[in-house]
Amino acid sequence: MIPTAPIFAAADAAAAETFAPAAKVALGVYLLLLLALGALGYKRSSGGDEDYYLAGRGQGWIVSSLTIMATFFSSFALLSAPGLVYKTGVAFALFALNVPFGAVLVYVLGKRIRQAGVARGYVTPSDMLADGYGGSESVRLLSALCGMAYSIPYVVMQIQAGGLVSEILFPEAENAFQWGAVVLAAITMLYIMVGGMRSVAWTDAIQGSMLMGGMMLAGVAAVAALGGIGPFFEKVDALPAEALTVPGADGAWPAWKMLTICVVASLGSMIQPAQWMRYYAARSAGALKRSALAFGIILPPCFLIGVMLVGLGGRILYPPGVGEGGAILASEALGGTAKDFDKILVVLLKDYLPELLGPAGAALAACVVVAILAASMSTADSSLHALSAIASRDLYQRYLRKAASALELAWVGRGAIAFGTAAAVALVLKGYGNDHFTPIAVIAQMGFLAIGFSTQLALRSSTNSFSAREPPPEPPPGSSPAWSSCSAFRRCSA
Amino acid sequence: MPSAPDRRRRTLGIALGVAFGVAMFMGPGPGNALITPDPGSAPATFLGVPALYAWALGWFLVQALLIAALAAFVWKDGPDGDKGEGS
Repeated sequence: MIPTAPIFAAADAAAAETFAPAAKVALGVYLLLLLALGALGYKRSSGGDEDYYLAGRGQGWIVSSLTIMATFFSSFALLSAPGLVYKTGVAFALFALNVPFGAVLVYVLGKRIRQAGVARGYVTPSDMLADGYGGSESVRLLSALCGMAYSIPYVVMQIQAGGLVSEILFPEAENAFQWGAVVLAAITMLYIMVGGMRSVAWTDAIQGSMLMGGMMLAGVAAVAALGGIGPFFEKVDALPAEALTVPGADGAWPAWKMLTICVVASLGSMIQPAQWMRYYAARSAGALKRSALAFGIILPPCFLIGVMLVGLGGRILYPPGVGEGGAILASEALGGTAKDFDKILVVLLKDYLPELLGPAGAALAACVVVAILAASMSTADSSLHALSAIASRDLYQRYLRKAASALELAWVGRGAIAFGTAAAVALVLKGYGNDHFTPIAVIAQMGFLAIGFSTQLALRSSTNSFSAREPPPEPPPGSSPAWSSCSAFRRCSA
Repeated sequence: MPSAPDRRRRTLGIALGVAFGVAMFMGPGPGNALITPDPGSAPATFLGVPALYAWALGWFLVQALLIAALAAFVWKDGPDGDKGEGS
């Protein structure tokens, strides 16, 4: 849990008084904006499942890039990533280098996925994967289940993060976690059901901007709290050697493991169902090219210059402790247990931004906490939206009612969103404060399984789909026949 | 038969792709052993910044430049071209 005890010192009473109302105003404005975008998305929709699921395949590069970024960065970016740097040191900062690889995939895979989607009318990943395997029903079913296995854990974990953020925003409120999780889930569910992909992408654009702003602000706050860049790095240099080298203070990040995670995590993230559908929804290959460029150049500094500095600064301001058997524990200020590392960004901001900037700092800290909520919602909405497409098109229409009308499918999709949200909320509430309730840990593992499986399917299918659908490029003289297949890693002839 | 500009673009794409692979190997991968100190010795610094952090920033800059070059010279808008941009 995030600490709920009063964090502001007595000298910062004015700041403490500012934080709560500022948090309520920021949260209120943010939630109203989401609902308004949901309504606007509904007004702009032209009906039909292609419009509901893919915004009519008309997304330009600005919305495409922001929604791809927001879907990629969940609450992990503002909670777990700084927590891992706080725990292990600089070694985990290398993880930021997976983001440029993800950017390359946005174009290299996204362009081909979009091209096939436009040509063949694909809406879900399973449409393309099954087609790539000669219309195999087994592959369709497997990829649909795999997509669900990927999406459900994301939804559960983001709703859980929403509850935790609510505890920070309203420490005095009774049942703040439960209310936070329920309200976050309900509002997310509402704007997806009403506006479909258009609303999800527009809200993602707002949420992505907040997320990146929050990450950079947090990094600046950490540096300022230690007296500026010079003093900051002087103190960082004085940290124990294991915090400044590979494999990190806990020995968890040897180089080959980090490289593997950077490659596989990026690949898995960029072909998850929600991202896959964003490639279908892009207006043009040019939109994906610009999205890839923005993704690769804007996002990594948010990590490297933003949240990573929070983790390093946190190590100096709140030195971790050592538990039984030499295990690293979070500082007492964070809770003192091995589960408290993720609190570092929030505790640091709440402690130091008001000290640096007074009430304005407290207001900014409130905005960053709302940005964490935005990060959670931007991933949850994309996963729920993808889940509804899988449930309605890949399962209901395919195996239950082939003759279902577009309207019927839309309502089945909305029903899947409601069911998925309710199930996720029930799991989160059941698991709250109950260390023996393990389903959440199990479904988190499902996500990793899904990454591994879908990674294999995507590469193979991409090769098959394109070699089957498009005239292959002319092979160069003397090349092997295999050259002529137009694969995911080889440019197709235009 | 691909045209000469297409062949040049493909060659450049392969070269930039290989360079990107090298950047991945050197940055988060085993290449960072080059700046890992011997056991017992103090970690190196570069311009007052921990060498490993500077290493990460440096390889990010390489990756960013490679992506910019790919976007400028290799990646095409596609057969349908751009239909206008914005949101």
